[in-house]
Amino acid sequence: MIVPFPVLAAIEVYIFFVVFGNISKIKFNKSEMFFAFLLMVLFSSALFLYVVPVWDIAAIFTHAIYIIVMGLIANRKTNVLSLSVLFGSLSSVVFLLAGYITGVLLVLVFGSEYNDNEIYLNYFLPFTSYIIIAFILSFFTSRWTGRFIHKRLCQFDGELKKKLSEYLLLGASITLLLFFVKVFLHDILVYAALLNTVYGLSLALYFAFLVIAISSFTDSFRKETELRHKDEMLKNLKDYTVNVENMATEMRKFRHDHQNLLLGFRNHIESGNIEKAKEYFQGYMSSFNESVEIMDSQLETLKYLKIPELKSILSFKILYAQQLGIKIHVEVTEEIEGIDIYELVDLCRIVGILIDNAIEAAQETENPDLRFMVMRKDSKITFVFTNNFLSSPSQAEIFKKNFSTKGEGRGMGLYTVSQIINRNGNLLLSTRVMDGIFVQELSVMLLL
Amino acid sequence: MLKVFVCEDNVEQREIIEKCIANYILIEDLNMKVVCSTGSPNDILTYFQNDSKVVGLYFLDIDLECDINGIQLAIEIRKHDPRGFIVFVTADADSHLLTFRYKVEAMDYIVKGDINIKENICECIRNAYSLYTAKTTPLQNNFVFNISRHNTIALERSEILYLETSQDFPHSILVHTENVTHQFRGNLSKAASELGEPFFRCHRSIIVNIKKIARLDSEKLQLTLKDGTVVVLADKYVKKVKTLMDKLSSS
Repeated sequence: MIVPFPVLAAIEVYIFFVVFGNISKIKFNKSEMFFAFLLMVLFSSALFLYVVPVWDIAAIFTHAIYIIVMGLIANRKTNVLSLSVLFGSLSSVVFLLAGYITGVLLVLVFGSEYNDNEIYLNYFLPFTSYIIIAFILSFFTSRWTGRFIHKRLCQFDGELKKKLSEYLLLGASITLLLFFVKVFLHDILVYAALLNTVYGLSLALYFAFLVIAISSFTDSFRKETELRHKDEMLKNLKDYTVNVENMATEMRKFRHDHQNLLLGFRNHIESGNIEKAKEYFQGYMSSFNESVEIMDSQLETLKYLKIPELKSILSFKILYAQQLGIKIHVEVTEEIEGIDIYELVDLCRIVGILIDNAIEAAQETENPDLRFMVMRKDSKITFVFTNNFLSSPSQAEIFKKNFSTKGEGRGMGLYTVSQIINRNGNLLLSTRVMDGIFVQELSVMLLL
Repeated sequence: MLKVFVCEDNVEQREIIEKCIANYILIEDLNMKVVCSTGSPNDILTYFQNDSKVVGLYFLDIDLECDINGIQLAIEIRKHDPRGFIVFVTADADSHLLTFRYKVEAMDYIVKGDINIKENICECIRNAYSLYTAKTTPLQNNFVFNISRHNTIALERSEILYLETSQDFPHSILVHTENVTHQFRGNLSKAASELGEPFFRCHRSIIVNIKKIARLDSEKLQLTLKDGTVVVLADKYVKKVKTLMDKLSSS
């Protein structure tokens, strides 16, 4: 034997690392990597040499271990277990598939004696050609797979992403299972070259089918999300309408009361009873403040906002804050319109997140103070959110927590904001802490 | 001379404000004068036609009984007098607080009916006058980031502490200045080459302003900035950063 097992295992683990890195797009730290590498090499060489001498069956166990180890390491960065395991099993699929295709290719080129594991281990040329071809194949396949997966997954976040990666994991697991079924069949049917080739081809076909399935699956997934988003918007708008109608009713009642009051006044004044009039007036004033409070729901200020999508989300958030007992001041002093329809989806998401953060932070204080403004300046529309807060995060800290560490569910949604800004050059977000008030300004360019 | 304008449609209120201003100018002997006290915003706008280089202190009522309100008037004023000091006089400041500050960059506001209204007016005059006389228009050294074709942001170079991106979002730049953090789409390599000295890319994801470094920790590979922020430093740039810092402190 020209190649000792540990070297073979090391090469294998190295290729697996490259594949995993390409698919997960996670940069690992060196010490973590080193230990994982050592562990995996030791395990697989021990397994091959002492425990399970049958090549293909040992491969099942080594891959199981690879997936577990890499999944655990990846999980520290992604925090979504199904996603981490998905990366691991996809790597296995790519790795095995590349090995398989290489085997088939070599058999086609050099003849059927290459269909034997022994030949690869005992002769230099078959060994190196196998390694080189398998490496190149797995490198490019994994890169492409990684891009594909990330492009698909980054459209979603939070629960949806988790759900989607669970489905994908199921697909990958089935693929792996098929591989291993083949392993057992292989042992039973003993080196049937033709069967091997046919099986390999059908696996490749299956893989292609899986890719198409994932594409259409994520597409319909996205459409569903959009539909749900639209439904929500419609609901918000309905709430808004109901509230405006209530306000109108309230206003009418107020006017009616007012008229009655004035009539009462006139009676008292005409009869010359100033004391009575005074009493009457004071009695009215105490109830006056209350009725004004009801009408002061700030929704009316949104009338200048001529973009229904934004109006919907803002009115919803304003009502939500008011339900929580938080006073919110809304300032829209000029007509706001003309935002590009393509910007609106991103914009609505960011606005929702920023306002949620503001509500959350202000809620902790004794006297929540929330303010919101939209204005037009130069060729930009700027949204300003301010809120007071209890524990003062320094500017740098806010971003440290949410910007440079990965992981959803960390509370503030700024991860999503960064994600959107990362691809949308029409936005600008400025954050500051000024006189104990947290201020966020979001500008969006008007396309002229 | 700092010119004072008052625009308030309630005659009684206007007289109170005007008198208060005149008294204060007289007592403190300031180089100021009330040049226009009116109930109609048009009077102020016509004033600009005769005197285009005016720097003024404006006391504006919000609810003017006219076709434009105080905020719109302020926006018009800004077009003629970008350096001027605007103070709003209002009964309900709460409903326009952000508009004052961000839309028209007003200096302050005064609440009508406040018992301390006179003191507040004097305070505004004092602030405006000291800002007006202080001839500190610092040398502007703006750096303009072109975020996209139309979207730009101009930042003062000397205020920038550092710029960063993250692994997850390599195209999203955070620019940290002393007071504000700006986030937008951009390219760090491009920014590094355009910013030039005294900025230095000390890490794959960090560009630091050498002038803002307080301490260099070559063991932990950290830079402590003057505001206390700690940023990482790549191994290979330790020496380079040291020499840049020395060069800066010696010059």
